[in-house]
Amino acid sequence: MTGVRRAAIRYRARDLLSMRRSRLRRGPLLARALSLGAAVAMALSGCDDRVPKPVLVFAAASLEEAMLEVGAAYTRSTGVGVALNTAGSNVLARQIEAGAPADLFVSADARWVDELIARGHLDGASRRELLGNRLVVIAHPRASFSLATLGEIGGLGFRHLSLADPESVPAGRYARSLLAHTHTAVGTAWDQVAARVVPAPDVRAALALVAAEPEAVGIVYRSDVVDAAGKGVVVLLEVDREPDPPIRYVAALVRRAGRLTPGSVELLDFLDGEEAGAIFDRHGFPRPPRTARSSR
Amino acid sequence: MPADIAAALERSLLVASVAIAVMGPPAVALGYLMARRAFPGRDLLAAVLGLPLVLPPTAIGLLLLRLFGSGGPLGREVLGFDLGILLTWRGAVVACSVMALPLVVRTARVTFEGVDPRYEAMARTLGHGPIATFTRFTLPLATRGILAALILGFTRAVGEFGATVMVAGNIPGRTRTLASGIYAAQQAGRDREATLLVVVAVVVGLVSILASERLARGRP
Repeated sequence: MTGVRRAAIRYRARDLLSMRRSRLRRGPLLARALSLGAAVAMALSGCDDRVPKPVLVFAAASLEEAMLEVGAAYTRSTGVGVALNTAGSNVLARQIEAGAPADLFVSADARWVDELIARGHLDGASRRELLGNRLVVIAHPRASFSLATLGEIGGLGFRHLSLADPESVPAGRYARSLLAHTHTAVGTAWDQVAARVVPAPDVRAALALVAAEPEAVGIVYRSDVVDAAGKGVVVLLEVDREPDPPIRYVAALVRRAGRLTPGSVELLDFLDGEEAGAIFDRHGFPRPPRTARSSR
Repeated sequence: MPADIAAALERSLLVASVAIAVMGPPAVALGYLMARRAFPGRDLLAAVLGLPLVLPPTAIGLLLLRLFGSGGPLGREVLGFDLGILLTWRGAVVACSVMALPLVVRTARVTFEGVDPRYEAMARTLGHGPIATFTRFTLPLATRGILAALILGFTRAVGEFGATVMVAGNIPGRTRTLASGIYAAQQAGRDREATLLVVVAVVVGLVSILASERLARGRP
């Protein structure tokens, strides 16, 4: 480029700049603000047109840590982000019913999924049982309780039985069901402990109470105490028997305006796959028996 | 159901009243101190006292659980005896006191800042001691504001749920209050019970706030 051309470009640039500056200063404030805003909006929306939006997963609170890891693995292999919203499954169900922009719902029990399928919010064909869990009886490290079978729990001298609220939280309902189906010489285990139940808003709160009160024992998910010492409790008993209905984390795709979100099907398949299965297993969530896993 | 609702209402009112009775006087005193004296660390104290307003109630609840729970600084191991806070109505009182404290302190402080300190100075020159000055001159001038502060704290205590549930539990018939009862009913899908409880809570809240407003406006 010759020196003359370069100088001409420089002068032209300076011209444009000074013109633009004075143009920005002229005119009513509103028009200037709007044009600035439009420029900013265009700049922002112009970004990332080719990167797909993250898939929004509503997952039961107990799955949070495992789902974060699985989501990260999915993003590493596909480049698609996974956004997570966790809460009690009952809360999530209500949010989806109210139109929350979820793409995938993983619930801690089948009840919420089936209800939402019946009301058309979830896609029934995609319904599948992803994971199972087990219940454990926990106590304070300094307490001197010991338990060989669940049937003995009624005779254990604790003052409080800390459960997630059996009226609403899946973990509590599973615990109550398990106790109600455990028969002893003097009625069911539930009959013997019902008066001592402290219903907590969620499983983690139930666990926190046991960690603070030596006269309380609790029943929580095994997945919650994968690192029991780290949570400040000891496991008295791991109950192998499943409650009735058994603990199943059920997943289904969310329909919004009758449509499924692209990308959510792939994520659900990934959650069902081997890599995710290993991660879930490490966090205390085994796959349920093969026969029960196909969709209805 | 009506019996449960009446019991929950009674428990809420009782817990809130005890909380205000226990926490109120120290909170008002603290408000007076912070209004009159600029001591080192006053701003820091104000910030710490304001934490229950800033932190989520469950965070406060967890802190209280650690504080009073076994192994905590006020737990039975350290003190040698059980304060009997966890899972009792006393725990509910503690939780409500903590959550309502910032409101009472701040309102009281603002009230006292509105009382001209010259009146107090005048009273002192006339020979009244500091306590007499406070009770015979400052307090009567601040009465409406203090009552408003206490009612505000009371209302907050009645509505308190997050911290209470962690410390006192949500045991029906023992520590379930109006607020935690609403939560439990909503979570379980018992919408009719929840709505009924909400209506009761709204009435209680309206009555309290209206009373507070009238006091703030004052009758000459």
